Amino acid sequence: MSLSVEKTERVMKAMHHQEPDRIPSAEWYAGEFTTSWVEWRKTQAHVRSDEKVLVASWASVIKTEALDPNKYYDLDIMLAVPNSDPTFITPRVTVTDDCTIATSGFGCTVKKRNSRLEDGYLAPMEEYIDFSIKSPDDYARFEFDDPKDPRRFFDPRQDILSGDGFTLLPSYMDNIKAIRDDYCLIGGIYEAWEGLWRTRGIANALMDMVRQPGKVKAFCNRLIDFAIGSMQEQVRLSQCPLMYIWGDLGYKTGLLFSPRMWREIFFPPLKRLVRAIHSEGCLAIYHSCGHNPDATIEGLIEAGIDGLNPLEVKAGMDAVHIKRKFGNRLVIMGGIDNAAALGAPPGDFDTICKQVLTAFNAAKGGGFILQTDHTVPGSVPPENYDYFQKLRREYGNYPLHLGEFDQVL
Amino acid sequence: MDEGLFSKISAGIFSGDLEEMEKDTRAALAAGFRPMVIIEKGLIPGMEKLGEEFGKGEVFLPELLIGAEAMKTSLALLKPLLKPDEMKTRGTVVIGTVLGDVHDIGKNIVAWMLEGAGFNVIDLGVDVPPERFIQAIKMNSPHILALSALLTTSSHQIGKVIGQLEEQGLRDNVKVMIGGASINQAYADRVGADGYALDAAAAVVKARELTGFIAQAGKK
Repeated sequence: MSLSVEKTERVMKAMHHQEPDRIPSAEWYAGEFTTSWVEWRKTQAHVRSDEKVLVASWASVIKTEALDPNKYYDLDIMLAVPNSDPTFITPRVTVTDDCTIATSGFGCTVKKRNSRLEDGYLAPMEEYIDFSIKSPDDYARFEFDDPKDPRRFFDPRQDILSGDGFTLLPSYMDNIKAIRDDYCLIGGIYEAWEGLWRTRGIANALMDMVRQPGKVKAFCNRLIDFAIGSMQEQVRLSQCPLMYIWGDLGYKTGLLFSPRMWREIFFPPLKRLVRAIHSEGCLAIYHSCGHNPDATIEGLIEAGIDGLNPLEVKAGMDAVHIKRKFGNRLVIMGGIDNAAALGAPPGDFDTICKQVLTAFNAAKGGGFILQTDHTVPGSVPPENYDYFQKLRREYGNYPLHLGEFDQVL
Repeated sequence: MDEGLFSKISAGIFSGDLEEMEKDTRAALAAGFRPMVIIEKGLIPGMEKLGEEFGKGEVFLPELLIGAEAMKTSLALLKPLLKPDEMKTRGTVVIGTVLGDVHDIGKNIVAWMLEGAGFNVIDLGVDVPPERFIQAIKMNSPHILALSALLTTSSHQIGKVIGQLEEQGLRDNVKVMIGGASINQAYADRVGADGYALDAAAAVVKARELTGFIAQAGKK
């Protein structure tokens, strides 16, 4: 059995709420974390100093297995996405002394620092400084290009909004070829809210939702038409069994908008999107940062999603509570605390052990994919992350034996 | 004079109707009310109620944003008419998102809510180096320095700013209030901040608490 078949079987068994041989796992790494992890790994034994590694993004191909955290930790799922900008353009990039400014196919212009700050800290996020949609009337004028345009899949990707800046990445198909034999593949698409704020800006989009809901709804439907096209082509080219939907409904203490507004504007297109994903034979995992109340999760299940990610612990999300509340109606993907637990001082293993093994209770009966509660940031000490993966290897095999951390579900 | 105009101005914060807000503000001025009275009896009660409802989870960010925009529409007419230093009586706040962090929505909403509560707010924007905070404190002698950090990876900058305040001998002159997704009370205690606020509504309460303390201590 090939590695990808083995891993896909493991993941899909968990997705169908059965216990496979071990808890399946996935991870998205920030470039800054990967860089520090690689340096840390080089301090460990058995890594040749002349080995080279392409550290660009979770979406890129890292050449050296010993220095690829996905391979090193034998993770099960790999995310691969094509160019998903609504308009297909070659990003306009301007480099100044201290920053790079670029305009993407979302029509937004972003700015990012070129170098590390004095203390070695690399600001990981780009600042959105302009948007092509200037008023609610512009929604109707915004033009979408073909989501199935072959250039999105076969040309090198210059995806400036990938989180790691303006690196030229291998093409989607080159990426697929490099990973398809070793992992269970998951594709990725943007949900309406994510596309809306990238084209209009968060504050403007939120205000439009109150003042011009009809125009926003119409635009959201077009965003979903585009997402469905992208999803269909990804499935055709990669045969991925899973689709990751970038959504984001919450922030630290609550929802970005009211449940009524979500139900009115975003629920119908999401339901249509998930139905299309299912009709392609895929299962849908919905990404929503921040605090997502139980009632909202109930609505997401009603929209048809199969799994929820990433369950941010710092925003009060609790994998065990979600498991108790929703049982076999929802797969949990995430729930491991990147902030207080893995982000604890280097070597604070008791804190990590307590949080991780407590969360493992949510994996009982399957329906759980192990992942930290967002992209692993540069603030996580590599040795802490390594310890987390050691816990997975030691305690992540079924049937689970969690000792003092065992809880009755 | 028709004090019903104040109710209309307060209600305009909830409707977010910018044209109505401008019309009602002009009407209040035409009726002879002083700008500060319009702020105190119209805008501040409206923003307070909006903040309370936000704190209770009855309104959300879109409503806060349109309320803030309505408030700014009114303030744009009123502020030029205020007497010098009149706004400073409620306290001055220097606010910004720390170096390496470009998130602005949360910081902006806190700034607008503080402004709506009658504070004089000096917003330094995002990705603000510690030196700029120090410079702004020296120039404006604020009662409060409000620091925002959303990213786990940028929160350590708060400690750096507080460290520089201490180094420059400014720490006793200003109260430091912090917030953002990566921050909690334990972190505030660890870095020696004077206050932590979970959200914008709590930030207004905390700012009042901190400025009240300063007033009682006779520092400002």
